[in-house]
Amino acid sequence: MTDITRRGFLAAGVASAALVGVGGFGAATGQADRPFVRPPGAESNARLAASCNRCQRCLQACPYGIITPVPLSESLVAYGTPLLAFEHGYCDFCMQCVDACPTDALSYGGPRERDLGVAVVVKDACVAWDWSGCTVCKDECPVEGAITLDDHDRPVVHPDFCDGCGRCEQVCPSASLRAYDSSVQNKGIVVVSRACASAHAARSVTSEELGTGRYERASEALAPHSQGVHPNGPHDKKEAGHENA
Amino acid sequence: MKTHKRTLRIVVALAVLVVAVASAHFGGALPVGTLCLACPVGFAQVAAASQSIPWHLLPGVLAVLAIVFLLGRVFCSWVCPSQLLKNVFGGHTPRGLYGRGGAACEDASSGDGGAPVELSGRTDDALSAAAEKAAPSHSCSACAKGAPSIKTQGVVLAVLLVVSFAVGFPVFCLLCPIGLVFGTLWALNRVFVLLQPGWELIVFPLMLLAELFLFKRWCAAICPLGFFFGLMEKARTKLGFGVRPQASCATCVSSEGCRTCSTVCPENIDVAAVDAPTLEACTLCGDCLENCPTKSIKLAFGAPKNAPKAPEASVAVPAPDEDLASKPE
Repeated sequence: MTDITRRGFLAAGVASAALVGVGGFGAATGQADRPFVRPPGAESNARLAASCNRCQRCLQACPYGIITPVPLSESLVAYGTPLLAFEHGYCDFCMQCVDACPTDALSYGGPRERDLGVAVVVKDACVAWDWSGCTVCKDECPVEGAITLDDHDRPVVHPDFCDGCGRCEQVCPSASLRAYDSSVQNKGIVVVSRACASAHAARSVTSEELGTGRYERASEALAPHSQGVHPNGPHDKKEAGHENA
Repeated sequence: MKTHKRTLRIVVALAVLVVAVASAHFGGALPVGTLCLACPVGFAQVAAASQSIPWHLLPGVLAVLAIVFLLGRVFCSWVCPSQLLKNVFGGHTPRGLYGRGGAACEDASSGDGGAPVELSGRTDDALSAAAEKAAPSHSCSACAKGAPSIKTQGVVLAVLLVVSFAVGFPVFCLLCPIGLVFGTLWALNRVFVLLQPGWELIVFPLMLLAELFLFKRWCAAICPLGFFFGLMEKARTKLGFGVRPQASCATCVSSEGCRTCSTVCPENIDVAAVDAPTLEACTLCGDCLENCPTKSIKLAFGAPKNAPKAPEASVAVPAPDEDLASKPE
């Protein structure tokens, strides 16, 4: 047993100051509960940030490779916690990530167990707003009734049905259909967290609104979906609210 | 200094990283996770931040603590990615819990002109330098009594838990060098697989550089993992339990001034004069076994026996004798 040496004390002091600094920064900026689209079983962003020890096991467990760590540029504090990216796949609620999670960051039960977020249509990116004819998102949506077409054959998302699985975002062809115009970067339909400001936008947003509202926390989160028949693993379906409520 | 053991340590630690990355790409059925799965600090932090106990982490944490209890700090030299970086980029100087080995020794052995301090570039002449001043007392055991500072590590851990509780997320995970190594790997993955470069690739290596190579006392004074390991070490020392390097009195030439073991040891442990508290710092790296000129050091089970200090143990030093003569100060 030794006494604390001066250098040891200094080192511990600097480290403690750094910890307080990082923690204070996170608390002050509210980055810990920034609304990301999380894997299933995440009760809320704050809860996930508190419980996740960034072991990356969910990322390894996901058979579709759609879980990715939050990059440093998005959040200093939530860095390394799981985020869903739908470029190469969508979520069918196989729940392997929840099974793999060693903490309760992702867990069964609760109204948001199978509620990833909600899709919003991006007006200036969606090709159906310029020309009618594209119905890819509606055709591919695994939940009957989550996306319908309005009088002008433009897609409309119904938050009561949408579980945020990301299929529409994955298949949306707007970026390639608009390849001539490099100013359009977004998909025509994008899944956002129900806790963010954009989730409250009435059915459609502009790219600009999405840019600011996507990660801005709304005062109150949108209610979880309550209707429709949803995927339950790769080969199964089940009605909303059965295990949820 | 022979470095086969160090090469082996590098291979073992690299294998852990390779398994984690491979699992991210080909996993699915077998998510092995990262070292975070068995992290006692992560367990404590998550418990504080979420105000509930993450039971599923408990088996891994207990397993790690059991290993430390049985084998000592093997994690530090064989698995820890921070130590891997030190082994790979730390030059030829063994760096352990103390950063540059011998830094803690400066005061205790000041009379020797810092002989145990300068490790770099010294190979077999470690023997000669030590021999020409055959100090009868085991001076270096005095310097090694500064086992990793469990008190400062405890302070860091306490601050960490309070902050995590207050702000509601595990704070140390953002600074942890082990996490930063994995973070760098994921960032590389992002660049090469998703083609999305990120700031991580610049920020994380810089943080690692600062923490491990500029802040040399990280392992000894800050690492909160070391606090848990230290507790286990204290328990096993008290019980006289576990595997330790021990010198055989019959062949050890410590009484003739050989200080090879403490010179090559990253923690400056004089295996010949070893006493219980000294061994708390031992990470079982095996450098002393490999470099002992008379191969007197073996891993043995149980409480360390007394050091071979009998002056009549003037066993002939085999080959290095010529060395001694040919290298005057």
